[in-house]
Amino acid sequence: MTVETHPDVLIIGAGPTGAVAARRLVQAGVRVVVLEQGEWPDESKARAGHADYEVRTDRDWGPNPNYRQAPADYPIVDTDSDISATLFNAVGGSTVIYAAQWQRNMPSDFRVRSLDGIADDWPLSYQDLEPYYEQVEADFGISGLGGDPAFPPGKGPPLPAYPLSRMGRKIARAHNQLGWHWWPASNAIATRPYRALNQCTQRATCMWGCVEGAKGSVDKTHWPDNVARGVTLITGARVRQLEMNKTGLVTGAHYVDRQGKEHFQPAGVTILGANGIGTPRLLLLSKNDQHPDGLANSSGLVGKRLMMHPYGTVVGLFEDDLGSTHGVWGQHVHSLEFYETDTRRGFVRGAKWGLLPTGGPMRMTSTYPWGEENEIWGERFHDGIRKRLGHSAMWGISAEDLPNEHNRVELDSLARDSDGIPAPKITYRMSENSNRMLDFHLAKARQSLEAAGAYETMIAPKIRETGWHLLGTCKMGNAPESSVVDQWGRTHDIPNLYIFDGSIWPTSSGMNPTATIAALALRCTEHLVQHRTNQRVPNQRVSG
Amino acid sequence: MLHKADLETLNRLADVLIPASDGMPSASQADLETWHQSVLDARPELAEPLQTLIASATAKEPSTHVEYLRKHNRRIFRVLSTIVSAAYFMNPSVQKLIGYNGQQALPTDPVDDNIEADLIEADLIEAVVSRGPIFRVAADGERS
Repeated sequence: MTVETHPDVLIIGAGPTGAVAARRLVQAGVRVVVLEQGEWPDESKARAGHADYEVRTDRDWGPNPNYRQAPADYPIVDTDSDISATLFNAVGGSTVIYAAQWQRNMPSDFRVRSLDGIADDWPLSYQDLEPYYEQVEADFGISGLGGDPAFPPGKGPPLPAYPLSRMGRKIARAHNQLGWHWWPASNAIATRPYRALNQCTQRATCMWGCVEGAKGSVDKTHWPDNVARGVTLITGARVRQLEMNKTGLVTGAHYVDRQGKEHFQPAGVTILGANGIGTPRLLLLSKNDQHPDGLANSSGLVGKRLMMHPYGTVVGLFEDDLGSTHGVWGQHVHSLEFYETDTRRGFVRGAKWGLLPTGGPMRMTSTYPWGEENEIWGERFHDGIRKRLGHSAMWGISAEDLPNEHNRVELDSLARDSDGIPAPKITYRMSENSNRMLDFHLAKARQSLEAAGAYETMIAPKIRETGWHLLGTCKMGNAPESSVVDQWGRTHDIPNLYIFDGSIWPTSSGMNPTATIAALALRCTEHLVQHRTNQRVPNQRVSG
Repeated sequence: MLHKADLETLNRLADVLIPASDGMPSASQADLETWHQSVLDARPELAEPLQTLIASATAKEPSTHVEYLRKHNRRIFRVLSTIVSAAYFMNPSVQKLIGYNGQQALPTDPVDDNIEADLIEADLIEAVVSRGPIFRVAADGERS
């Protein structure tokens, strides 16, 4: 086993959490090492414009690691789950394949208990997070339009939104007639050259390899700069256990490189950024005599309260050519008309709608966005292609998931990754509240598309491979007996072990989470930087 | 590389998924024999399950077998439907018939100069703004 040099801070995971944290730390003069089990994304696999583009997407950029089975992937046992978890293991994490839909949480998302009498309030507010939203929006190159009445007034995105597409205008007019909210949506997609990003050319390939380099994924926006500033980024490093000393501090991480060689990476402070499955998996893998149920788990909540945002689509078919093979993907407009609770609907909380294109001809036959219910094989094939290709617009509905301890991440008793490390198993069932919420929203989205002129609509009510948002499995809160970390991401049990990723969300909101994951990571990192002189570390202090 | 008998089996299965109609060729008529190889060049990991699929389908009635796979073996059905549809849509003659030219870049839209779009959007957006804020504020004014 090789023992590596001793940094002030070790970050595990090079996704958005790790990227944001590393940037702020290195700016403050802190020595940082990052361990990432994946490699840099292979740009040669971005094939937009080539004949084989569509057929390569599922394998090279597909979201489900169980199907993709890349060398950096680990299996996720999902036989007891209504939704499959999706993620990407690489420098950039799941921002490499995200749709770049950039949504702040709304103020009520931080006050679910106070406003709706259920679940929990966050130990911070929208106002607490607002300056960090503004900073990360500058760092990620967000495009959009300020002044959205769904959010408190404030600074808008740094880049302008694209002019409304044909489908966007149809929806805008329809919603104005209905008196419903819509707004040009924010995306982490550059509408003009911006820092390391090039201008988007609207190929609608955002989730399957952006050849322009216009999408604000952190392999573009953060990591090259982080490395240039002195962050040590070690790829191909699969962490299998955190090590502790007798004083109750984490001393570092054991990892396996791609040649199978064992390493130990020591550090003064360890930050986890492996998100809602990877983070609890590692804490559970790291159990020891002092912590027999896993690290930071005195509350028993590590791995519990998994939230994944049940997702459905409604697609409308239009006589007009909408040009919907192209455009940002991404979202063209969003609607938060039915986001806030109205108990007359028979459920609490709500869902966010994003209007998307539908892509090329193979996409017309795929489960996402059409659903197995709407397959067109056989006699319907040609008519289906003619009706769908370029003539369809999709509302993607992301529903808030309420926390439930039955929904959880555990270590599977049998499954192992390629290094023999126990694989995670997810157990997840949609709640009655979620089912009612999706039914309501899908019906309303159908009404929206019909008002916009769709002559036919199709609903895919629950698409299985849409567990993009993995949240809640290491809950944040003020009380150690009912949460894993405090509002600064520090674990209640271990003073030099932090979690900054989406696993710490007390409730899930209904929003695409990267904006809040990034802002929260920055807020937590800023606190660590400001209080580093008081930070307990094993045999050293954080410098800078 | 598939043998002739295997190609015939693949053609029969493929034509269940994509038959000829509406002036469009079936999968086999669109030269599946050639284009399926381009698919396998891009996705070589599909070759083995394709061979297994063909071996299991040789003596079976194609439409019945495809329907069985669709309902009861989604993984194998996905292999078949991926190969068949990808081969079909990679064929330039099919692309021409459906009016599709790939995910090419659109001409760069000069955002700042799109005056017509700005005017339309300003009118549409004003209606949203005039309806006022739609977010709730907690009794504590959101301060923690």
